[in-house]
Amino acid sequence: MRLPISVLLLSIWAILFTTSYAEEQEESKAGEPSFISTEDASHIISKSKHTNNWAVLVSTSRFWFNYRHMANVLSLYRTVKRLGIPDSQIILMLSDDVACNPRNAFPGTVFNNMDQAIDLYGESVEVDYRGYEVTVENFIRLLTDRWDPDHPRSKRLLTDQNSNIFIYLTGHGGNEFLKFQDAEEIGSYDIADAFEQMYEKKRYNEIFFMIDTCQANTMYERFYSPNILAVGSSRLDESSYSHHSDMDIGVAVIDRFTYFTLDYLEKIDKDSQETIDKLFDVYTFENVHSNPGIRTDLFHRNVSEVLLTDFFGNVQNVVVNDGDEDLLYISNHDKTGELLKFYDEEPEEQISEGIVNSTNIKTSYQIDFGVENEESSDQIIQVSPTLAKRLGLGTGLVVIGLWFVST
Amino acid sequence: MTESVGIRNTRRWIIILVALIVSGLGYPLFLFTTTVFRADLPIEEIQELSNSWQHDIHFKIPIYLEVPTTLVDLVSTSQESFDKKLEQVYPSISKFWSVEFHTNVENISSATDLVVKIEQQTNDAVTVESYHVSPFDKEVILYITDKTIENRGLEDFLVTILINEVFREEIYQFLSVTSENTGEEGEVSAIMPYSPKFNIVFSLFVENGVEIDWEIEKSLELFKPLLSKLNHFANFSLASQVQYYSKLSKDVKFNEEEKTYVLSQSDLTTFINFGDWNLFTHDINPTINFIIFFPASNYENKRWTIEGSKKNSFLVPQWGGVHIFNKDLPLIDTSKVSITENELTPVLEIFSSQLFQLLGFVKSPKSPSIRIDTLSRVTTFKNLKQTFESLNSLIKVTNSLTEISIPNLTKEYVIKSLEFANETLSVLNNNQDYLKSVTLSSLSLKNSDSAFFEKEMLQQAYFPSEHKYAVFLPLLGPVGSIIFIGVLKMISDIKKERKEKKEKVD
Amino acid sequence: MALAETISRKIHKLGLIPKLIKLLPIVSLLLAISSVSWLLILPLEGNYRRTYISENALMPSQATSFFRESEWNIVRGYREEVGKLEAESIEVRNQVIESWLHEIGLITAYHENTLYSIMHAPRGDDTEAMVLAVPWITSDDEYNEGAIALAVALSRYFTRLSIWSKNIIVVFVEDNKVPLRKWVEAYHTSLEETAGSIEAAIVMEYGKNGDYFDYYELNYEGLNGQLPNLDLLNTLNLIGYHEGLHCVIQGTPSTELIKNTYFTRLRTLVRGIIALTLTGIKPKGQGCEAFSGWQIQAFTLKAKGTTGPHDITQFGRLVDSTFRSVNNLLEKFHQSFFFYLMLSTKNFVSIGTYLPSAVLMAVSFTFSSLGTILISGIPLNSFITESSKLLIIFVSIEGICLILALALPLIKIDLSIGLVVISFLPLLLKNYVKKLNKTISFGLIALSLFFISLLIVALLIVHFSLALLLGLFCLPLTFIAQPPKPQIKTLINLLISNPFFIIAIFGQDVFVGLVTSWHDMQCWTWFVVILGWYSAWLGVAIASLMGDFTVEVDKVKKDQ
Repeated sequence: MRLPISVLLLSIWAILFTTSYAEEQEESKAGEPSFISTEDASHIISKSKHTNNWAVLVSTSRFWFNYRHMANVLSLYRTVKRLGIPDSQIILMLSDDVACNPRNAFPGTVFNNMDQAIDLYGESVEVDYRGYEVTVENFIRLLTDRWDPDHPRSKRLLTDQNSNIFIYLTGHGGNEFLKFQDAEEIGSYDIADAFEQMYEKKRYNEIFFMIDTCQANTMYERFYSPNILAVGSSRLDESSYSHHSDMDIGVAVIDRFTYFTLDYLEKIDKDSQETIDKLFDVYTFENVHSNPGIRTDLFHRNVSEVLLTDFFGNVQNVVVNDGDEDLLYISNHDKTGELLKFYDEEPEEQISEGIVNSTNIKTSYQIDFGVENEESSDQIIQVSPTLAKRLGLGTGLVVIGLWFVST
Repeated sequence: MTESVGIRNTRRWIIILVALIVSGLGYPLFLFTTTVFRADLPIEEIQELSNSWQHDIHFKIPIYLEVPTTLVDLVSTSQESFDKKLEQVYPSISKFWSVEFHTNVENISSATDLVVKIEQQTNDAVTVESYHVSPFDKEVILYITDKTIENRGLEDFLVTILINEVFREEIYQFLSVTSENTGEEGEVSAIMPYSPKFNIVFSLFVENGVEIDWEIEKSLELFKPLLSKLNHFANFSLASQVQYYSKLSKDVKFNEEEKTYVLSQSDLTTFINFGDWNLFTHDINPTINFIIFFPASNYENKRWTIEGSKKNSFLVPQWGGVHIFNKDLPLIDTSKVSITENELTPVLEIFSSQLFQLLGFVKSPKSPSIRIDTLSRVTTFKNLKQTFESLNSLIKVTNSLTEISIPNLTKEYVIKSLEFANETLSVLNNNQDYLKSVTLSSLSLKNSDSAFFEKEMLQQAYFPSEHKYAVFLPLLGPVGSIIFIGVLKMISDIKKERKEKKEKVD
Repeated sequence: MALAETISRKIHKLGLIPKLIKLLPIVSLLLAISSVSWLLILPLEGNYRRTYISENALMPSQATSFFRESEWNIVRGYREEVGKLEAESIEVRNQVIESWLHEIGLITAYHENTLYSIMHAPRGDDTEAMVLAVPWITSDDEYNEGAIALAVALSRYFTRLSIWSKNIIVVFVEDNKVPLRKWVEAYHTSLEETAGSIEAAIVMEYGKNGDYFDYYELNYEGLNGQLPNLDLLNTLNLIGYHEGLHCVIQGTPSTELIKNTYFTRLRTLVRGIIALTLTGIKPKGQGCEAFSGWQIQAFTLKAKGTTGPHDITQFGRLVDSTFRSVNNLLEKFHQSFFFYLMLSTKNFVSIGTYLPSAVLMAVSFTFSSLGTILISGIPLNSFITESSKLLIIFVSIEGICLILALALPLIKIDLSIGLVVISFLPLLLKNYVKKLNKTISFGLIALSLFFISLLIVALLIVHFSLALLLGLFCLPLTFIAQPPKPQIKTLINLLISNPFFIIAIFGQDVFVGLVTSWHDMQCWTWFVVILGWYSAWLGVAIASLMGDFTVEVDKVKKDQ
């Protein structure tokens, strides 16, 4: 391997680092400068501890006349994506395909407003669970992450204690239940227990639970795990109403509660400093035509100090520091500046992982990279050294054999 | 209405038999069809071990002293001094973490073991003690003067250097891991959650569509030795990709004075365009992303700078690192541009440093070998801690959710997890083998996760108790009530008979 | 136990049972009266309901119909061409229409002289269809110029929409009664070009009204008491309401378009009952009844008036919007009522509310039957011993009726008055035939009355209108036996309850329609009339004219 041209610069690496004891002490006190992006000081913002944002967006009802539920959920999908949550961190459960319904006057589209300004189905939409995959079981599995070992990553909620999760449900609900697919229903207790399991397994930092159904507020009544903020569109025995119909499509295209949520979120940017209580301010009876509910007792921050982007975006706390120098050089050279040869230690002993005698566990295989435009892919540690030696030996024997044959 | 005694007895027998058959068959059947399977988890064992492991674990880092022949008893005096100082300053750490001084012997190499060399300065001009930690291996050199020895200050110096310098960061890490309120301060950790396998993806995001050739394959050769040192810690797969037309989600301000585009701190928080950039996300193992962003303004010979960064780079906690690449030479947009190995090497240096931060390496000392050992120890500790948290969560969840099934596999995973935890402890305590212990502890962690996330462990509460009883009610109602009343009547008959008999006797 | 015992003892002590028996004829009459009264109170405020849409999927008036001014010229153009065809034969007309449909790009096919086109929904699953049927002649014997032109223009318009999940069939038929019925039957049995199960059908009539019409009339009665699902009618009415159109049902005069009083509601109710009974029997059909029996929800739309303010495209929009609603359905119509009586376009009573009326009528006949037996003073045992004889007589009567039922449609007697006379002929034999004994006389009357009661019960759910009218027409029969009447009264009662006499009142056309209704329309009213009503009438007539009714009143009294 050839050394970089800037050998002069790198030669500094070889110089021994001799610093005086006293100086070193001094420096350690000062510490390394770390600039974590700070919020505007004028805002009294309580800092969320999350490092990643996830969104679970679920529509639960089928049929053409429930077009608005699909539009609701796709609208929120578009919004959270616009605000920066990556597709890989959005779980979209779309219970019916209204875009391709023959009754759709604009095939392949879904609109949430009669002005038909935004085709919600137009840009790349990654539906994770569609049609009959949207079931109570799959929803619970998603939350508790209990799947087959080969369940694709994109269909899993791979959150940890640093994750803020926005969960949005829409469909036809009743007192403490929500209908799935016109066939089954999920109860308030089911979601509450799933959240508790998530909490116990540290699968979230905070959850923002939003539900737009009839009698929606009954759905979050049973929650008991901490750090959950919940809002619903209507109280017990109250219907949740649609906002307006599109006379060209011939269906109601959005529900009121969701409409006003989106209307508000449209105004914010990726790095907005708006707090979540401002969103709650639009949840009035005049707007929604039902009594929206907000549950904050499980949530430990004051809603007036919580940024909307803590849930609806993916604002990352970046660290600007210059870190260590010369790690590569050190790894590739010895004290004398000699280039080291690549070596690979052989593990002393193989440790069997997991339960070997059980046939129920499928070994998860390493899948080769399949990134577009992939230039090089290298798995250096995947082949065990013994295997590599055997292969090498085998190849050598074959070559020798061939040599003998040819002569 | 009279009934012969024989018939009456037969009738009673029938009642008793029917009642017995119905309850004897029905009850087990009811249980069989309605109860969910719940394997017996080794709850006591989990609780016992999770209470005791922090007392049972003992890190005794072997340190080999290479001392001038005049100071042979330094080993024992230093040990004494070290233990005392540690106990004094960090009492909580001293319970499970310490060092063990040895005299250096022939076959000990600083490549594999921590060696402390003590060199006596003969030069009178030097009056102050100093030290040097080699960045290439695990060697610490203390330069002492005669005075140091005279004041019996050598032990102090050695202990101070070890506690305050060499192991400073390690001790801090242990302090933060063991303290109960970790992370409550609001500081976000940059460290990726532990996984036995990571993907590292180097992406070149080109702002426009002009083709770029980069010598990443050659450059990655430089990266491999670094990763190979980590192979007991985790497996790494490397991949690279180039993507064109990778726009930022918002425009960058141009600074007219400096003729550069300046990215401010707040720009960086939303720099990564998750919506449009094709990032590697579909593997089940976590991915560490290293992004080289190639701005189109390179063709206008205008640079991009990141406010506050000398190296034009920043770190995204638990996600990866980004470097903005400015080409030094003016470019002509018709010719093919290439980024050479020489240009990439400094960038990979930045990424190496970021990788260390993402994996949770301590910041000092410089020597990767020492830091890897520290990482192994801390990770082992963290893994065990997390294992027991998981197992305790499992117990808590299964206890509070009575309707949740506990498959046998969960139990097997729990047992396996405990076995690995015990093995970790024994490997650690007996051999101080940090490489093996980190592997074992990660297996323990993995099994505890598997136990918690076992597919069959699904609460079926959306099949509520009401349904269960509703299904059996048609049977319980008519059949049950008839039998129940029959039995009651029989009992009252018998009572009546006895009474009559008594009266007769009387 | 004890309570029942006390009550029964008390009843016995007071002699309530004989008293009640004596009162039975009056009770029966009261029941009949209350049956009618029940109907009369239905149009009162509080007894009826407002219509509403039950099926969520329908979503009427939620979509804009684009069949507007831009299509008007196309309709006009077609209408002018259709006008030229008035003098042409049906074959020529069909050829012209077919060429237009081909131009539009539709598949066409024939059944006899009926032309129909199929538009397969391009994105649908090709399993369900909606039908638009247009007769060349309206039910008012007018050349159906506007509707034919409209149907072609709508066909053209439908092909340009991309919203269809169900296929659309447009039928051009000579006449909306028998030919349309034959086409529907053939569609479900022998036709090769089909487009799946028909969910709904609209029959359209728009005569020579020109460009404008005042309001529209809605007909919805099906055969054998069947009605379209109320959701369909409500859908249409809601669409009409949003279009600002007035709708008229059951021949409400144009001067009372918006009137909604007790009397208008009662009139609509009564006319509805009569219309439903006569559907398939009347010589002119409405069209919608042709779809009965195949689970197709259908109605007929007729444009009325020529002055406006509504234009012909608005009439087309009614069809378009209704089709769009039906198109939205995911299942067959099932949410709303299939049995109901309309009181106005916005008010109705459902089966549960009106059914007691027919039940009361049936009970009235049962009591009459019971009264006949009990008042006769004949011991019950003798009825039992004579039961076989009774049955033989009754079965013979049924046999005669069955022969008549099958023979009459074939021999085509032109006058029902003649039949009235003929129906009395057997009775002339009375002087030559041995008199029936008392038991048989009473028994036969009781059996006949009971038979009517059973008939009402059997019919009351499936064909309430027929059951109720049957009960009303047969009511005079209950007056015959109790107490015995002078012969002239008996004869009058017999005459006014004679089926042929009553049909004669309705007219010659109705008789012909009734006789041929089974063959032409699969309407079974004829069999009910001849096998049910006429046979019971015959039973009572034979018994009352040839029987012995010397009731020993004293004997009854002595028994007390």
